[in-house]
Parts: sequence; structure tokens; C-alpha cells
Amino acid sequence: MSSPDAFMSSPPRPRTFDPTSISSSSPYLPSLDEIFLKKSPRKPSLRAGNHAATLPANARTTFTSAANVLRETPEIDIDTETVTRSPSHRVKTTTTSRRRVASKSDTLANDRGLNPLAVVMESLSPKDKPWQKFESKPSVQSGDESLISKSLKALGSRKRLGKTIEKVSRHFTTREEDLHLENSTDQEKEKVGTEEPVGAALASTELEPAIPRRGDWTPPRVNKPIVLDSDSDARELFSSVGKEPVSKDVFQTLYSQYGRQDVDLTPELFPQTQADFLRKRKRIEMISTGQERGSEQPMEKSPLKESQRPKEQQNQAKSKAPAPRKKTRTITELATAPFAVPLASDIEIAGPATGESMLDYFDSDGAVKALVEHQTAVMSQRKTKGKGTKQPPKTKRKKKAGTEANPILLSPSSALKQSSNQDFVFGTSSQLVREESPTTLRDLEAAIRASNSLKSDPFDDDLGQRLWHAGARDEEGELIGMGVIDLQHSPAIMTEPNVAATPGGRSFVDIDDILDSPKPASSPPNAPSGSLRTNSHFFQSQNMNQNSSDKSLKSGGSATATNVDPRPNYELFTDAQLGKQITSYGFKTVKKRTAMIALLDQCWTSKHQGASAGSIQPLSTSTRSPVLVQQESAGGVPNKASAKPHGRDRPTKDDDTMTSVTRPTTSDNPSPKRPRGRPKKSETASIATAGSSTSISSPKRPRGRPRKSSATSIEIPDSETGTPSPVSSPDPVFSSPPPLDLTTSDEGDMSLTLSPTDQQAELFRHITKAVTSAPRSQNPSNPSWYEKMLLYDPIILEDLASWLNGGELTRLGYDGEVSPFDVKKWCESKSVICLWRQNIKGKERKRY
Amino acid sequence: MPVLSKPIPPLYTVYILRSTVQHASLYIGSTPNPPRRLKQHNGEAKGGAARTSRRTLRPWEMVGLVSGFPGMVAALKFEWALNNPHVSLHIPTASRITISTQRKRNGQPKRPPRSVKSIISNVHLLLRVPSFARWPLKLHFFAPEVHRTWTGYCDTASEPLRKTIPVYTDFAPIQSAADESMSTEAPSPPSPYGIHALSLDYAPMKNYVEKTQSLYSFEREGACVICSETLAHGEGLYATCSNALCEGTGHISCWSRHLLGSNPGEDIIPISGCCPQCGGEVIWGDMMQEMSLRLRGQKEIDKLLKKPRKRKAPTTPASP
Repeated sequence: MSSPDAFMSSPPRPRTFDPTSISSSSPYLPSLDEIFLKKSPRKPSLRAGNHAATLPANARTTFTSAANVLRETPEIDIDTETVTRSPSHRVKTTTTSRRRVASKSDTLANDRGLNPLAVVMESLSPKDKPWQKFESKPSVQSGDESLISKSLKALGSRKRLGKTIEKVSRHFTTREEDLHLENSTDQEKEKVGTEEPVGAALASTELEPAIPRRGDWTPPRVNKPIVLDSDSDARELFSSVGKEPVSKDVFQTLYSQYGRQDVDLTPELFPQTQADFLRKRKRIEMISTGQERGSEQPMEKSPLKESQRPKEQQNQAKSKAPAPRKKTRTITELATAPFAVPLASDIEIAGPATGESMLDYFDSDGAVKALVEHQTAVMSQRKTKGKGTKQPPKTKRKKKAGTEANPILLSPSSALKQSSNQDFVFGTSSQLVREESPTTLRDLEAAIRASNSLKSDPFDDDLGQRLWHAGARDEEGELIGMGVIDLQHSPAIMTEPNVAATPGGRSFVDIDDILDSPKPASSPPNAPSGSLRTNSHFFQSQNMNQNSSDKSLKSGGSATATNVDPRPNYELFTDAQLGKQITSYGFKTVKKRTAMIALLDQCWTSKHQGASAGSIQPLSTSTRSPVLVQQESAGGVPNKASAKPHGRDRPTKDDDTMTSVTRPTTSDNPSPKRPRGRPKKSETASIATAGSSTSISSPKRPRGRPRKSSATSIEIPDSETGTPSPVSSPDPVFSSPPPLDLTTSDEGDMSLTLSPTDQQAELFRHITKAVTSAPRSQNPSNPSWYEKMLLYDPIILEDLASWLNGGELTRLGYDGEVSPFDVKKWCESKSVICLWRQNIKGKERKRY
Repeated sequence: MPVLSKPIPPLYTVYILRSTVQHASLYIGSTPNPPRRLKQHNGEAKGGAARTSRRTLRPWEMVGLVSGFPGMVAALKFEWALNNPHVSLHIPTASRITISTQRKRNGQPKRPPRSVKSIISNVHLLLRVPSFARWPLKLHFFAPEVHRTWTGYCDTASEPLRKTIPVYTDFAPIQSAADESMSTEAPSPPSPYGIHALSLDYAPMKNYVEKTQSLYSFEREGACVICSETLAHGEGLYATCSNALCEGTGHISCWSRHLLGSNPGEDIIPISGCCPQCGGEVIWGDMMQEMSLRLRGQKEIDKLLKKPRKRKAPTTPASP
């Protein structure tokens, strides 16, 4: 399923237009003459659209010139005049407008029974044939310079060209078929013209000159001789005829893959009477249309064609009985089936419908409206259908299309939007058949909504609703109802009876429909999943309730716990806040956030030790919090998410529903935050504990620079790592531990060679004795400490200190422990090369 | 505990670099290969220091160096201390010569401008400080004026340097350079001097290594010359007298105890002494270098001992 965004952003593709073209096809079909007229201008636009136009201007020029030059000479003038104005004109040629125009042309082509693909084939084919090129070239030469320039312009601005083409074609249609219709179309055109004055002027100017000249350019009848002026045209026709059989072979296979085209044609062109025949030879028919054009010129067509032409005309004049809907096979067919209905409907019905459509067709604003109306109608019908019938999606769709009461001709833009909202799944047909039906999601959603509306009642309405909506996600994890929202958003929804019938519907319009329909029975594949979902949702809602109760519990618990000053959750603090806190404790700010948190934790514990057992408190929180975390992570997230769908639906709701929605969300705002904080607190606790545990093993410690401020003194517990000193015991930080005086003693004079104090001298003596008196190593590769020193090996201070503290000093009767700093001093006093285990950058040394 | 797989390098130096253009421009660095490093400083090879990259100051010369560092760590320590004599913790405050009077922008004391004399005096000082005093260091001077400064400072120094620090001078052969006529009669390339005369490998101790190799490979360690204990082969760290013909071998702890002599409680690293067997002087640094080479540098030993054979090999096929 493709998102609407993708549709909008993607460059105009013929594929995109397809549904649109079908839906917007007008009931009256153009005459063959028109088709021939149409054929030549059609090409350039398509070319440009397909970017296939590497072909030089020659081939196209012939076509373009044929249609445009004579007719549009005024336009050219206007263009040149309005070059200054042109920017405004071109500004409007945004992607959407361009697309619209393109689609218009597409639709027109479809109206005439021209298969876009066939057109493409034709346009492409000249490239393949060298003789074609040769023929086309002289035509270019024969054409005026203005003609060439015109073609170039046509190349440059596709939109303008398309518009002109469209107008022209319209004129023809109206003139030949029914004049009053023409008037209406003209009026509509003028409406557009209000938007674009240039276009209006063009339209007005075009009308007069076009009529007399048209005769020249109408493709010659079989009997008629070709006018010399249009020799280029004639050649084209010839060439097209000539190439047709050849191209047929090439493209037949290609064409066969486009099943959709068949669908288009079947309803449009062929009445029921010949349905069987047509079905059998769809392909041939398609190609025959191309041939038909060509056949005009030289020879008469097969009786088949002949029979067809009157049919078309009949169609145009009076739309026939509904097109045959049998054995729709392709996905595209299925998808487009509902939109083909208007064609089949009677002219009385079609008349107003088309009138609407024309409005929308030109009015960009009205397009949305039409889209909404149509969509809602379709949706409502579809839902009822889907529930009612157990059949697979294909058949469902088909039936829908058949019974659709209110078909609307959508404007291309609105149709595009609609198509983006629809559940089109692109893929090979085999894939698609196996896939779940596109309506599955909708059904699911409906089921969820239904269950929601039913089951959330016993509990708190808002709470339950929110939960349900939060959980209402499609299989891709996206919120369900995204597509629906737009439709509801528009005021047109009021007109829709189905929607209006659901005043109680909170979030989605069609809840009532769903409720009414025997949902689970309708779709066997959907039902289990839907019920499952509902179950899960139900569970969630219950969970939610529990959660709320938990919250209250927790608040109570926290109240009891916070009789003593609650330990602030430092994890929640910003860095700046943490820094402030640290400074408030009298420390310099630490860069590392984790370090800051750990420090603050320590500070807090030491500060509040008297009041409560500091060590116990964090423990208790940590033990309690995980449970809360789980619960709240389960409850809290949906909470937050639940706000979204409500927000989306808001515009469609009544005011009271809106308020009901908004109120709880605001009240719940703090709640989602709390759970977020809690887990982190536990994390901090764990971090703190982990930090303390790891700090013992972590080799990080203040370096030889004792100058470090008191902030480093906090790290001293870490620095004990080498020596399992009593300081590592959970003494409060602020009680000055023994290592502190070590650093302070260094404060005065940093030089290591300062005459050691008596205590230090004693220590050094013992160290020396311990080192020298240690037994010799029996392994040359693993010398003793003394042997290392004698070898001038760099001594790692931590290792030596740990070795000394590991019983060597006590063996000598020295009661006390030695820190690596002492060892360093000793080493340096003895000219022993010593090192810290880590280098300045805090990494393990690689080289010694 | 890291495995120290490397033997004591044959040479590791901390050098004083001086610009030949501007003698006041000085640089202190460390390297195991002074000629290569000098090339780098002069831009002839990649990797010179940015400080010495200014073209107007090139070429540079090494006017003096301290050699004998037992490893990179020791050399870097000494280099840093010599580069930062105003802040080095190895220098006692009382004896600090270079005292910073200014502060850098980051609050650190600023190093006062240095001169040859200040560097020399600090070298003198650092060779006396406990941290480096007992390292097997040697002094080399390649510029007469620098050596003069050294000797001058030694006279005025408050505290004498320990006598066991050898001071070598290897000045440029001024005489031969001056007398071009005289040099003509000596077509042979001038013998290297200065840093180029320093041996970068273990060649000077080749004889010593050969002796110990024969001694240890044939397990003729015998008894410890000090404690008379039988030296089991491969079951301890044994050192052998560096003097030729003397095969006095013993535990290094015994050697150190013997060499430290009178006050074993104060010092633990011997510097030099007399071999108890032959009575000749032994230098602890040399003994340790040999021992580390023997214990950890089998590759280097092979290289050292194979060299002559390799030289012979190409000559013999070339002659016929």
C-alpha cells in the first residue's frame, strides 16, 4: 500500500493516472473524427510525461503542428505577448496542476477509446522505424518556423500544451455531439479562465478561428481526399497504418500485461451485447482501435470495427445499460470497477453527475469536496458489503461497484487523493491474490472500534477510548484511521447520511455501521485477528486500569518513602542542573554526566545518612521500581500515543467530544512523564551501584598530579582500586578518608623528592626491604620485582603496590597499606623506572 | 602484567638540537637513532617536529646528547624533565634551577626561555636527581662550545655529578676540514663523528654477547660468584661479568648486592663496581643490557652474531 505522500511526490506516471482516468471518464464518447484530431496533439504531452521523448522534434512536430499550429496561432501570439506575464502562468504549473492536466488529457484519450498504451506504442514506434524518421523530417521542413518553435514550446511547457489540446478536443466533442453540452463545458472552461486569464483569453480567441480551420485538420474520412496543407498529417496517418502490424507483434505481449486496460475498455466501449465477444478478444480490440484510425485513410476496416464505431457513438449520445461485470479478473479491474459505474448508469443520472464532475474537474477546491463525498459513499457501502458478504475481496468489490448508487466523476486531483487513500496494493497479481484483502485493515479497524465502543463503556470512557485508539494500529504499526481522517475532516461529511447517522461515533464515522453489521461472521480471515486484537486491547485497558491503581499505590508509597527527603532523580536532570547541584555541594563541575550523577548520589547519601539509612533507600527504590517500570511502560506509552488519534479526529467531532478528548490528555500529561523518570531512577541506582562496584576494578584514578581540586578527592574511592583499603568501605564521602590527607600533603609541595616524612621514610624502608628480600624468580621470563628493577624494566605502580599490600609489607611487620603514589615516590627515589598502568589518555599502555 | 619482550635497546638518547643558523634555537628530543632523527629535523626524511620545520633555522645539528637509556619510557621521562625543568617533579624544589616566573594562559607555569647553558645545567641537575641518578646514562658532546659550557658548569655546580657518568666528546674534525691539502692524501671517506659515530646496534658488545652465549648455551654457568650457589640453567636471572675472559656469573640479586656494597639499604640499583672474580670494573647497565638481550632478544643476538658470516658470504662468491 502506498502512502499518499509517495503519490504526491512521485513524478506523474501513467500508472498513477489510471484509476483517475477511469473514474473521470465521461459518459459520452467522442466521435472517431475527434479521435483522429486528438491523436496528433496527444503525442507530445505523453512524450513529455513519459520522458521517452529523446526523439527529435520532427516526429512530434508533425503531430503537434497538425493540431495546434493552425488552431493556436493566436495562442502563440498571446504567449509571446505575455512572456512577461508568463511567470505567473507558470507558477501555477506545480506538480499537482501538471498532473491534473496530464490526467485530463489521459481521460480524454480514454473517452475516445484510445488506449494510452496504444498511444504510447505509436509514439514510440516511429523511433524504431527508420523510414518513419525520414518521412517525418520533411514534414518538419515543410512546416513553418513558427511551427517548429511551437513544437519546442510544447516540449518545454507540457501543461500549456495539454490545456490547449484539451480545449480543442472539447470543442470538437461538443460541436459534434450536443451543442448545449458544449456551452456548459465552455462555461466551465471560463471558470477556469478566471483563475488564469490567459487561458480564458485563449479559450475565447480559439473558438472563432478554430471552427473554420478545423475542417482542414479533421482527419480525412476514408472517402475524403487529404488537403495538401496537412500533408504531414496524412503522412503520419499513413505511417501509422504502415507501422501498426509490425508494432503489434512487438507490443502485443507488453500490452497483454496491462490487464487494467481491458477493464477500461469493456465498460466504456462495448455494451453488454458484445460482452462475450469482447472478452475473448480484448487484445485484438485494443489494437484495432489503433488500426481503426489508420484504416480511415486507405482502406475500410473489418466489420468488427464498423460495428464498434456506431457503438461508440451510441455511447456518446446515450450511455448504455450498465457495463458487463463478469469475471473480473485482474486486481486493477477489481479496483477500478466501482469507478466505472457512472458510465453504465443512465444518462439522466450521468448528466448531473457529470455536471458535478466538470465542476470539480476544473475547480481545485471543489475537488476535495467531491472526493469526500464519493469516498464516504464508497466506504459506507463497502463496509456494509464487506460485512454482509463473506466473499473474498474481489467479489466484494465487484458487487460494490455494481450497486453503487451515487457515482461521482472525480476531478483528477481528487481522484488522485482518493486513490492514495485507497487500499491499492501493488504487486503481481499472483501475489495480490494471496494477500489479505485491502479491506482487511478497514475491517480490523472497524472491529476494533466496535469493540472499543462496546467494552470501554464499563470503564472510564476516555481512558478506554484512548487506549483503544492507541492500540488501533495496522499491521505496519501505523495508526489506523489515518486515511479516514481526511475524509471526515471535510465538511462534506455532513451531507453523507451514513456519517450523519452516527452522532455517537467518537473517533470514526462508521462505528454504527460496524456495530450493525454482523462483523465477525462476515470476514473469516479477518475475524480471528480482529477478535484477537480486541482481546489484547481489552487486556490493555484492564492493564491500564491496574496501572492507574498502581499509580495511586505508588504515590502513596512514595509519600511514605518521601517522609525522608526523596532522593532527587538526577538522571532526569539536565547537565546544567546537574552541574548546579554539584556546585551546590561544593564541587567543581564534572564533565561526564554519569560521573556527575554518581557524585550527586554519593553526596545525597552522605548528606541524608543521618536521616535515613542512605544505602538502603536507593536499594528499596531500585527493587520496587522495576515492577513499576514494566507496568508503566506498558501503560504509559499507549497513553501518550492515544492522544494522537484523538487529535487527528478532533475536527470531525462535536465540540463536547473534543473537549472530552482534550481534557484527559492534558490531565495525563504528567503521568507519562513519571513513568519515564522512574525507570531511569532505578537505572541510576543500578548505575551508582555498578559504578561503585566497577570503580574498584576500574583502573581510573587520579594521576600523580595531586593538585587536583576537591572534586578529584571524590574519586579517591575509585583510586583505591589497586589497594583494597578500608576507604572503599561505604564511608560517607565527606568524612575525610585517609587518602585525602595524602593528596593534601601533596598540595604543598608537588615534588616527589621532597624529603619524606618519618612515616614515609619508614614505609620506604619497608618497601625496599620487601622488594630486595623477595625470593629470586626461578623463571627468567618472569622476574621478581627486584630483578625487574635491576633490569631497568618499567615498574607498573599499581601492580607493585598491590603486591606490596598483598602480604609483603605485613610479612616485614609493617602495619599498613601502601598506595601507588607511595610506591611511585619510592621508585623515583630509587631511580626505578615506574609507570602507571594507563597512559595519560586513560588507555592501557601498549609499549613499554 | 605486561610481558616485556624487548631487550634494553642498544641506544636510546635524549639529544640537544641546535640550529646551525641561529644558535639560540634549541630543541630537546629523544630517539634511538640520532642520525635518522636529525634527518627528520632537517627535512630530509619524513616526520620532523613542527618546531624544527622552519626553513630559516635549518639545518639543525645535535650538539649533545644523553645516551644509555634503558628504554623508551626512561628516555621519554628524561626528555620531558629536561624539556620542563620548571615543573618536573623529579627535581626537588630546593635544587630547581629553572624557575617559572610567568604563567601560560591556561594557568600552567610558563617555561622560561632556555639557552644552552640552562639546558646544560638542567642536564647536570637531572643526572643528579634521585629519579635518574642511578640510570646507566652517558653524556656525549659534539660541539666544543657546548662541552665548554658543560665543563664550566661542572666547576660551578653546587653539587658534583657522580663520577661514574662518562662524558664523551666527539667533535668535528676541524683540522682535516681546514687543511684541504692535507686531506687530499687521505682519499678514504672521513670517518664518521658525532652522532654518526654512535653505534646504533649491539655491535660494541658483540664479544660480550659471544662469550655469554657460549657460556649459557653450554650451560657452563657454574656457581654464583657471590653466593657460590650452583646456578641451575634456565632457572633464574644470571648475569655475567662484562670483562673479556672473565666468566664470573651469578644471580643478579647477588651481583646487585655485591655491587651496591656498603649501604644496601639506601640504593637498590647498582651503577658499577668490581667483578668479584676478575676484579675488573663492571657497569651494571652493560650487564643488564647483555642479560636482557640474552633473555629477550634472541632475534637480535642472531642478527648480531650472523652478521660477519653474511659479510663473508658475498665476498667469497665475488672474488672468483
